[in-house]
Amino acid sequence: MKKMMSIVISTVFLFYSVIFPVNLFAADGLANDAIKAVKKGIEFFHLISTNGGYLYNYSVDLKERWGEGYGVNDQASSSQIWVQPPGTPTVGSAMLRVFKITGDKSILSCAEDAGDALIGGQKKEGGWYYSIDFKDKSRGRSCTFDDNTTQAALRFLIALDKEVNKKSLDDAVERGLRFMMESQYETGGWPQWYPLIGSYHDFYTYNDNSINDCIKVMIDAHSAYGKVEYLRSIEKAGGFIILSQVAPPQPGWAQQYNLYLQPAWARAFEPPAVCPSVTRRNIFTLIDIYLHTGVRKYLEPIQDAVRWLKESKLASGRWARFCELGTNRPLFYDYGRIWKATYEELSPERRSGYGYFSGGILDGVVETYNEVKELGREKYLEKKNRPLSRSEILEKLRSMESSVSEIISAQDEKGRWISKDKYRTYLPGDWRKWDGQYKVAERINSHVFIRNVNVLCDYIELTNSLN
Amino acid sequence: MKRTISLLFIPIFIFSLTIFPTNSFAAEKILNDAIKSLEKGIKFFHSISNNGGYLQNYSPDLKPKWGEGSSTDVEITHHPTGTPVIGTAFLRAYKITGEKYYLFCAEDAGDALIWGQKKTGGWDRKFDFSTPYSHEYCTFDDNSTQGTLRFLMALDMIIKKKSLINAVEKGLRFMLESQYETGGWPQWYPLRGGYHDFYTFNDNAMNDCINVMIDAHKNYDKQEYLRSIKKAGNFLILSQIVPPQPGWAQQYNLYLQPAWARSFEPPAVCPSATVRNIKTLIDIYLYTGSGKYLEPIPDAIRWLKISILPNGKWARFCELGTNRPLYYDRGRIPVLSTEELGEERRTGYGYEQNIGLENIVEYYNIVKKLGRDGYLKEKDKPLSRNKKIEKLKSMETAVIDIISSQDEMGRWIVRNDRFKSRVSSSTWKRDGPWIVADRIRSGDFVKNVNLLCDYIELAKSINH
Repeated sequence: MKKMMSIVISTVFLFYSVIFPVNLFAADGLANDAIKAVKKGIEFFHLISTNGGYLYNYSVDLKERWGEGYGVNDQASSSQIWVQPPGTPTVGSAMLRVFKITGDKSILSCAEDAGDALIGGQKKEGGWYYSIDFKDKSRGRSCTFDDNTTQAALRFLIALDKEVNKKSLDDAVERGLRFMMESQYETGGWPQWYPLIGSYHDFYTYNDNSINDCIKVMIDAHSAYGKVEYLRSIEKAGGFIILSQVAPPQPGWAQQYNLYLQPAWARAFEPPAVCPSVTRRNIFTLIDIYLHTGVRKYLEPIQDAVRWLKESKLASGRWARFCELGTNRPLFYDYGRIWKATYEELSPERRSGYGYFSGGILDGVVETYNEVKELGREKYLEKKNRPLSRSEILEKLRSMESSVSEIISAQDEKGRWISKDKYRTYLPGDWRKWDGQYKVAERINSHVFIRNVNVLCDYIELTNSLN
Repeated sequence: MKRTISLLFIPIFIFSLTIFPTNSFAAEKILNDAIKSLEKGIKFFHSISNNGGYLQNYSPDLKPKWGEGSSTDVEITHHPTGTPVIGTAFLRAYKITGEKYYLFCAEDAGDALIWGQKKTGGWDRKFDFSTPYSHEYCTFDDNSTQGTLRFLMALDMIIKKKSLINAVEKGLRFMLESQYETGGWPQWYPLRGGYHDFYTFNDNAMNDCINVMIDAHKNYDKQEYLRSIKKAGNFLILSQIVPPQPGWAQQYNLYLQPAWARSFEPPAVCPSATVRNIKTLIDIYLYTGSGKYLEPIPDAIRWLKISILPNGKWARFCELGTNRPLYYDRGRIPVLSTEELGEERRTGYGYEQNIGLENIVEYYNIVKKLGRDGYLKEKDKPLSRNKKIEKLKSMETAVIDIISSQDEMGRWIVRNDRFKSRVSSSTWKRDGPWIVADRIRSGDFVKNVNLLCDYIELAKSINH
């Protein structure tokens, strides 16, 4: 009897949990807390902005500030902000997202401030340098596509342009897109820097997602403004990806190509080679282009690239960053183009400062490709954009609860998320000489802010879609 | 008693060796003989010049003459052992001795070359006084245009005259004009098609172009010459083959792919071109101070080290991909070893070579270690007196040899020189025809004059 009873109860409980998987009341409460946390977080972050723009890291007393780099000499000046993510464009995008969800105009004005900062730092050619110094705008010799700099700025401004109508923003976006078109080679690829500054900076660069991010800009631009020249730019770029695939038996892509379309040296530890991580990203970009244009030829290079990726997996389960042309062996070069037979022989600085291996190269690749291929563009997009069912939403909400609560409770009363950062301590002089030591200190990080705001936004958005 | 005396002598002998490491009396005589030999040699050579210019080989009776192939009375050659190097040797003799006559000989050679300058600004391999305007193609092959221009610039540093200034200016304009936007040079210019339009490292062609531009910038300090050097250096960086074969090819087509030149010169990675490019990169670094020009070197050295053949030499051509030695006979006929090549090619082309790897590694290491300024300072440091004396002594045998092998007319004659009869290459069969005859070789003259000059220069610097 007792046993019978417990079975009944557990059945009821199971039934209950299927229908009401989360305590809806609690969910609403958490969503409200999340909204409060997001607003408080933005309020604080806006407070520490410089002309509306942001850096990467701040000491808790806000006296020390950094863009890229951690060293004493790397500190940003009081008039400096960063463009390269997780700098101003990504902070601004997070703010814009909160506005779209909450409709809170004061948050839109924070995003607008970030936009104004970027507009203020736009180079006359139309792109951006890694950072902006409001006291010395000549800083930075050219505009860069490295590390998603110009691309992130432009994508944020395009997104902002949909919410805010003002002349300065229209002009900046237009100038930026003209810059994108002008800097694109006739072949469809983009250099790493433009105007051209010589050496490998002129080369077609996939490293750090450079050309891939350019394509994202053009897809955003075409989606937003519908101009046919933006579509042509996307198609040209897709044509370039098809063209630059290395021949079998290594049908992947290199990090960079010279203007003869040969895999080429970039920095002194980045040899011409076939790169699994680049190949993974190019496969996804090809799928994006197919989904945007509907032209199936962009899918053609993928199957063989997947085959090569499968073959090139190392015994460790990871992939080398550089597979030697011809032999497919992993390549390891230290600073000064010094060849090393194994990873272990590299200097500690390079070993800890550059990803000579990467994991998860095939994660989601085959699934996505097969699905896109089988369903075709329309059906795939339809499936992808299909609203979640109520039970799916509830399940997802529940899976997020603990991390949302954690984020909320990690925020202090001022709206700050303070994290303990571990970073390398460089010896004075040559920054390449690292003594292997780390330092830990409390920091306010843009990337933590962005991540937390986005998680909270996901949660709030889902809750809203339920009501 | 006798023993004591001899014992006494030994310390005296040792003492005298220390103070007068060479028998100064004998040394004085060698120096005088060297000066006389130099004079005799130059006088003879100038006497056989054609309007101041020279060929590569002469028979003692001066009837048959040869440039690269048999030659006529009205031709001179710009080949590496032709007029420009002979002129340069004269100029050097003048600088060391102050003898005006040598400068006059050099000027004469310069005038011949100015006469032979194409309207386009460069030089062909040879010049025919009877048909001076046959064509306007100029070549960088075998240091023809480059050697000529470098000699004229050196002359221009000493003599001021309008015709010389104009020729140099026209020549340097030609150098800039013929340089591709990428920084490389073709083998011939104006372009004439085929592999002659390709970027060519074979026979040091581009490397010599860079030497011209370095001389030009040193002498005339124009920004555009420096830019040309940097562009050329960037081309060397760009054209290095990818790992696992990070060397250079003999020639590249305009798509920057290793390419065929003559029918026995396949697209391949070339150890000898690689060694020369390493040297040129170091030279460019030393000249410009920009460290990036050194970057391709360590990997190239690594490749050279693993590409050595079992016989201790290097193949001229290492197959792309496999790194195996390639041997092609005329007509692009592949064979498996040098033994299977026809005699004409086997005896006429270096399919396997010594490349002087140790020297280039040493050069790179010392430059890398001392840095540009340190290296240049070290290089320009004069030898100590003792070192000079030591060096002088080490040269004595060779100098005496040269002096005694010169005949009373001032000629150095090679007895029973064996050389190929220059019928066209297609009719030159496996075993000949060879010719055996006594010859006067311009190459030997230049070598001997330079050695005499080395000796005289060093001896004079000790006495001063």
